[in-house]
Amino acid sequence: MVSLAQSRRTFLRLLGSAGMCRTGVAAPPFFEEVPSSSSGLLWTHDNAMSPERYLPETLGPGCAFLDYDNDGWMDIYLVNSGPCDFYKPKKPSRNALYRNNRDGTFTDVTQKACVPGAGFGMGVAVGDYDNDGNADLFVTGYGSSILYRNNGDGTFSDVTAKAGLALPGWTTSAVWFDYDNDGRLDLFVCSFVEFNLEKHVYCGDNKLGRRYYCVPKVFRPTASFLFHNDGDGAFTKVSIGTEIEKALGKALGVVAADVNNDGRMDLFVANDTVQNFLFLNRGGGRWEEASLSAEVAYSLDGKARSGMGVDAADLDGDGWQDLFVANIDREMFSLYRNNGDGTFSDQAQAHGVAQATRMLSGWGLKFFDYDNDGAVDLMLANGHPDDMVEMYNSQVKYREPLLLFHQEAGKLRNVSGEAGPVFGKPLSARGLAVGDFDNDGRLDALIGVNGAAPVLLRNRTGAGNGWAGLRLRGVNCNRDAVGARIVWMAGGVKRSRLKTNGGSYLSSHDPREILGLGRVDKVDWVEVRWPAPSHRVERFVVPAGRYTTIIEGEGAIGPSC
Amino acid sequence: MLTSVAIALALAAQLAAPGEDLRVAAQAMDARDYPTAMRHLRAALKTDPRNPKILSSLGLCLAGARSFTEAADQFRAAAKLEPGVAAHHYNLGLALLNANSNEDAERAFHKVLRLSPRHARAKVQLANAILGQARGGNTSRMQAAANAYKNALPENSRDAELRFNYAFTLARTGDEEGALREYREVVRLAPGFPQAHYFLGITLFQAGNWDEALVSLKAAAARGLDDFGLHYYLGSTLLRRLVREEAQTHLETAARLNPEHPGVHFQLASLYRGQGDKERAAAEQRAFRDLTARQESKWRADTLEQAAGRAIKEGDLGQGVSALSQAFEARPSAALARNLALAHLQQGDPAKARTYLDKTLELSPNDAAAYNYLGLLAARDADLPLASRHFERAAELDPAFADALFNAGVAAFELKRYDVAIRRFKAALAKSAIEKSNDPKIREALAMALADAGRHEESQREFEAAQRQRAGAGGTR
Repeated sequence: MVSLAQSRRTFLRLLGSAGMCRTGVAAPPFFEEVPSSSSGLLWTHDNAMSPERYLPETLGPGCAFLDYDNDGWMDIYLVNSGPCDFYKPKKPSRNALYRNNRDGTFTDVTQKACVPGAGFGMGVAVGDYDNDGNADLFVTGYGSSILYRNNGDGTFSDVTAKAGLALPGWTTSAVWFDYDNDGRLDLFVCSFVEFNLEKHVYCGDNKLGRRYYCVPKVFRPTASFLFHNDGDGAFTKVSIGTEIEKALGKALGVVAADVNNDGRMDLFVANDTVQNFLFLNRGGGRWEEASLSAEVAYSLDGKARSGMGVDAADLDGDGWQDLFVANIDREMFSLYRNNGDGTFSDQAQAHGVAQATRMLSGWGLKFFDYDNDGAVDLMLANGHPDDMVEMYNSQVKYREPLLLFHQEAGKLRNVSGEAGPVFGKPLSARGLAVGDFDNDGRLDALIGVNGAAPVLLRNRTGAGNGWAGLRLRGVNCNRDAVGARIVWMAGGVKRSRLKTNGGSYLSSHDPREILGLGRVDKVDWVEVRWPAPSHRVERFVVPAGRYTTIIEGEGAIGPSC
Repeated sequence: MLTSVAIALALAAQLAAPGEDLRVAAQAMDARDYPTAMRHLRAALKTDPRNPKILSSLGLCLAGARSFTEAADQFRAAAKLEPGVAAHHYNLGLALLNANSNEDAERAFHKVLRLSPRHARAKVQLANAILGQARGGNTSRMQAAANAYKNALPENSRDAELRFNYAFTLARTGDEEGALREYREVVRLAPGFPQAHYFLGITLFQAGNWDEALVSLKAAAARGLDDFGLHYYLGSTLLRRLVREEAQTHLETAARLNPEHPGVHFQLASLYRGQGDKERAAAEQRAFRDLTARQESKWRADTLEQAAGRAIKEGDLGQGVSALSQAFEARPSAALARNLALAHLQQGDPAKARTYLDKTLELSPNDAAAYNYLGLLAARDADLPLASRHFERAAELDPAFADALFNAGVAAFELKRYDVAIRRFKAALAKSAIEKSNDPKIREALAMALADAGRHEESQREFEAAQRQRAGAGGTR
């Protein structure tokens, strides 16, 4: 007896294999590329590539989905390179803020909003650090960083100096989170390697007369930064003397998540050619670097890998945050299952992720439920850092395809081959942000591409799975409700999600939460466990198929768009 | 880890003429008395120097005596005389393969296959030559090696060694499934070959298939494999299967066999942690960290040194100095300090050069080269007595240091200490004769010193010898 197809997509696949495609009926792609001519995203990343191959050239750019004007529609921010000690652009380059026109197009409002960036930008972290209801931007970079405070009138102010966030060196990913549960977002900033024009070295081949980008192992590691939000617009560096400062790394990716369910947000940091770090938040400003005992520091052979992008999510629904790290070719990416006892097990082989990523180099990535069936899926943005790689390695490509994994019966399955033509397109992908830019309840994706225009992907997964969108607004807790736990019941199935922050690489995601309901179109209830200081637990009934704003202590205030 | 490529020379010693030398050579070859055979073959070649059969036979003898480079010369000569004979190219390829000239070997096997496209062994050896390049550092050739082995398989399907190498290349090019398939086939074809079980085991380990990895690694152990790798992977696999006691035995054995391998301490730390032995876990963790840090530091210093070399070669002295400085910071050594001094000297910064020469002598007080450079710096400052002292010290520390001897001679000459100068020039001359450096400037300097010392006849002789030297070298003033 043939069992029934479990999902609409499986059904469509079966139809295809039964010959239906000959009649012209074919499954639509899961994601389709929105051309810049249609979206209006005309900005292009300038990677500053030079014959000398300075390392910062190959690491950007980051990107973000954010609602900077609070109109309920996701806008886009893109980070560019710029002048620095090794680069003097021939024509001015700048970051870009695009306002969502609510019709699938975007308008460049960078100048008006005053967020052009300065220096050689890398990534962006979005968060409402001053709890005024407006999304602020922290832009990382090589040689400089910027805090843009959102004035609430469509403009931003550069408050870097006042905030004390003019960071030296080379910063990459950053994450806003409330480490001390005081209701204000603090900031962790990844620091990469000790690098400047003086420290640049010749990596390459005299015979070929060509230079390659150096492996970061050549450069010395650095300490990342943790800043406490003092609540008066200023930040205090509180990593001094902690294990965060003592752990010298080459940090590229960070995600804030509560990995031991103790109510405090921890940090998982991906390091390039150095062990990864798992900073457990022990309260009172104390941090314990526990990656080795947690078995997330190295490969199974005890080798440091080239960690770049990261994420955290409860992949298997057991209530514990699992972790993901994208590495470079031949290292395979890591999927760490949280054993719930302080240790993790790398399950990348069991999920087929190791095999699929063996020859790839990953950067931006995100665990998210792209088809709203209630199970967490995974998207990976890839590309080798060295544009010369094909000259000395025949198995590795400089431009690599995106990968998409769908969770089925507890295992991830590589569905890139059926996800749409864009998944066969080679890219030098770096940042990856997900967000529902067309407010259809399906998470779309934005990919920052090194030296090229960004790639915007519209989620076209078939209808049939219900969804409910939430915009959480903290009152006692941080306004973005980072650290909140959402539990929901739909069709007799209870699911839960921790509102983590950060993750991916150099990028920021849509802050809203879309709850996948599977084959039902009704939410029985939603429970929000607000993070400290209130620890309030509230239960609501919210409508499916639309976004609802939920305010801590005040309840749901109806559709937000 | 690969089994060595065995030479199997194909051409029989078919000698061309029944002369006495050839008869004796043939008998000696049969008896594997290669020196005798070679002596007679060389004698035969004197009367018949363009005989490809004799050349080839001499090549076989040289290969039999493991003089592969010389053997290749003979096969090459034979192939030049008979370019259409595949066997000459095949033997040339094998000799080159054994001489580690893998690129030339590849070319030779391609010629064989052009002449004889179905030459089964040439296909195998072609693949071996490409694999040799990949293993020699040109990793981009690994895929080509895999393709070549695949191409050789139909005519050599029962060749376990070929399949083993094919599996190796598949594993290295990311085709784990293919590698596992081939290793399994090798195990079937040659069940007594422990390496096949071992490599199957580690490929299964890397694929996360602990249960099957365990079976294969135990099979390798049962067939006598008893090295670090086996104990390391067996222990690591047992650890993953939570068979901790047995894992401990193997990992501790591995640690004894190779205590410098960081991975084994990593596994032991994990094992002891799992056993609740915090103290030993911490100790192993420390060992792991220390060894890793040491390896990293060495790698970094080596890489920076290479980067400096590349930059200097390209004429980018600034970047070369920067890379050398970073390398010195990562791994202070006398050689690096000396190279830095030299680079600063080339950059026209004698003060920094002097600083690094002082550092060289701090790290290696008897560094003759450093004294020689210090002498040059002093000479540059026109402080000839100091320069002389440095050169003399350099020559004293290394009496075979021709440059220092010459410089000491020049300084003595300038100080009008002609006897000393003559002694130093003569010593430098003797050294340069040993090294066959054939530089007439030493004789010319010696001639000048002799002249100033009033020894005109000797001076004249040396001038003439210098002139002959220059004419012989084809040099000009």
